[in-house]
Amino acid sequence: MVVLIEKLRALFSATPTNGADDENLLSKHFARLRAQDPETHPQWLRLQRELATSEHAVQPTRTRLIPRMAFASLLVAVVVAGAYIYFFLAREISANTFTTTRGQQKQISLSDGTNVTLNYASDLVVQEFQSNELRLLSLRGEAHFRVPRNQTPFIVSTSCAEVQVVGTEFNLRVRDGTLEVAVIHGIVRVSAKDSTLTLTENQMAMCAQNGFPRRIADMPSPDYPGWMQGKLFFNRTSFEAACREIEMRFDITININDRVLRDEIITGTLGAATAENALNALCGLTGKKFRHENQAYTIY
Amino acid sequence: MMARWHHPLIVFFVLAGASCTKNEVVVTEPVAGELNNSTWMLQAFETLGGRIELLHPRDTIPLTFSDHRKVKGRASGLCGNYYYGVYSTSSASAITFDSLISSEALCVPESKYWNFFDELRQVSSLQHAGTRLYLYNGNRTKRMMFTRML
Repeated sequence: MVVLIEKLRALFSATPTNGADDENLLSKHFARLRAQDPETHPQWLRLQRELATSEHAVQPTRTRLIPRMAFASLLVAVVVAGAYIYFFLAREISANTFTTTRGQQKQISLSDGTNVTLNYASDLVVQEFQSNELRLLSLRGEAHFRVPRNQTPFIVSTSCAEVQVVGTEFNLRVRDGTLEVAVIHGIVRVSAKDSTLTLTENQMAMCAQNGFPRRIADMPSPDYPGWMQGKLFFNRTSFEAACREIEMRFDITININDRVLRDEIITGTLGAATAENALNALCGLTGKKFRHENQAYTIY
Repeated sequence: MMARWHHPLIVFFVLAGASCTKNEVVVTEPVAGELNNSTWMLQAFETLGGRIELLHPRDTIPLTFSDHRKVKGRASGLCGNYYYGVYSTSSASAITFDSLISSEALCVPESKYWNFFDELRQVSSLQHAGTRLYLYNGNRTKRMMFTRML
């Protein structure tokens, strides 16, 4: 009996978290044992059962803390991760991407008042504008920008060069690895490979990938670039390339039967309010005809 | 006494002025319909200061007004280019050329083809006098002179 009581004491003392409760339980058991005959076997069995029950009753007090702590840890982890994403990552990933496919054009109004018209088959990525920070965009394809005057520079990155303005209207065209810049109003700086070119109204520049920006002839017409008014401008462009441009503009297919015609060079403006309009002009120029069959136009 | 002297002087100046105007080309303003299906040959460029730039004798640059307000032409002699575009008339003397596109074949520097093509885009008015046609630029500082092809 004494040995058992000692075992019980040892057992309860091994659970430091429930000291007061254990003392009470032991006292209760000892009182009961003393009141009854301690030497009978059923008494021992009952005592063992009660001890087993009381041990189970004590157990949850210890184990309940583990899920609570785990939950609290998880909560803290979620809050910390959320705060990190909000304050650090969100600033980097808060960019809007605008995309057009063949035959599409899209009007975009940015939060700083800039109006962008995106031509066909183009992508424009706009980083969220923060006050007094650079306004950063990246372009693939062609877009016309009308940027309101603002103290913070407006920078458009392309695969060929970086174009910086403060307040101006200009057109950027990145096709076949070459950037073409046309300034309609204001001042534009074109930078590539540590070389910067400043352009003013009506001036144009080109920059090939991994090349230096260079001035080209002034804008051929006050209507330039014209694609928003249903015109296509060509400067020493092959007939075939002009047809490819019309294909992209209207999402159509053009077949040219005459091989010599494909290589002819053309310059000027094409009225291109519709695909037929543009093809009429090309055929009017070259004395050819066109027909529409099997979802394709054929110039013959 | 002074008035007696003034009267003959005024008459003299009026007559002198009238004689000067007789030296100018008398022009009439054509309606747009008159241009339809007509072909003209460029002869010269003339600036406001009276400087005339004649074409090389072999430089042949025609201007044809065809149906549906189309304009076209094929140069020859010194240049093998051809062009195409549209024109519109808002009044009897106002004319503009738009959507002008040109081929770029061999064109020797002596040819005035590209001058013609660039000037055509600047044209805003015309004057017509018999077999002559004048196309003026926006501020009327320059004009192109054509003769009608029969």
